[in-house]
Amino acid sequence: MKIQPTYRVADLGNAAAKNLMPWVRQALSRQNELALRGRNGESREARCWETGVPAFHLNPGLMHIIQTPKEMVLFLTGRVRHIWLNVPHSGNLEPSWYGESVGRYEGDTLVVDTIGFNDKTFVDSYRTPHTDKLHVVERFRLIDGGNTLEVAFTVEDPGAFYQPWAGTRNRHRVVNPNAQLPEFDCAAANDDYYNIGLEPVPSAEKQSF
Amino acid sequence: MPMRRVLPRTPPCRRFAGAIMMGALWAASAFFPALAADAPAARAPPATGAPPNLDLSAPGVAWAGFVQPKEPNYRIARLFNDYGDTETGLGPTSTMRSRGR
Repeated sequence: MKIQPTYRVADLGNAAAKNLMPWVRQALSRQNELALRGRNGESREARCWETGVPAFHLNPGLMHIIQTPKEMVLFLTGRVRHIWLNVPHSGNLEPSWYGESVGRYEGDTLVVDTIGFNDKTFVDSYRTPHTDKLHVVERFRLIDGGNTLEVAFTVEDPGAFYQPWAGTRNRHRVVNPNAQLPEFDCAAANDDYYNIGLEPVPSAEKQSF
Repeated sequence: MPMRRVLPRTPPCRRFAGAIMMGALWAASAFFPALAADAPAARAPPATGAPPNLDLSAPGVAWAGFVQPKEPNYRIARLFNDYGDTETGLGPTSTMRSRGR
């Protein structure tokens, strides 16, 4: 009898998986073993870690957007991304969870280029790791008569993948004139009470302010 | 001797009514700027700099990453927190296309 695993397991036998460098495959193999034993299967986001990009788009919740001529801000269940418009990347970037995003309009498409990531996030829900050389280009456009926001992206990381790969993530327009930007509080008392190998929730070593 | 036309005198009651009318108009004019500020045109959202076909931040609009299918559908449910494929080129590590689904 084949038992369907509860947690997702990466398929390391397909063509796309051959694009992974050995250390990435090993990391995914280790994670697969844990997932098949029912351990550490929660996504990084479920453990309240920042997601990085492109995994930012995996959250199925509501994304609110603020557009101004100089900046675009994306809010997604407690995550916040800033996209600076019509400016080049700054030099000497300090690695960060969401890197530095700069964008420009090309016709009816917003093209966003992001670099400057730290290496603490995963690029998908299977916990595929990456390095700080990660470079993501996203293309935002409206399709289906403006009812669907399509985000098509390419990912390249010469430290993790042999060649760039691509994916898409669509979102659907939801209209609620009375809606307000919700507050989001993650992980209050979200500990591993049942000893199933959950990753600890993030904690700060020093106060930010 | 030049002719002089004598205008009929306005009765005091009409002058009083006229004064009230002018006062009312003057008082109303004091509110015109406030009314203008409340007009829909003044409440229009600020310019975004975005192309007309890429207005993503209209009031009350949000973007949902998942819409529940009307009946069980594995392909849709799987996209709950996974990427979709691109039409060409190398896709995400675990995709429906590469898994033959």
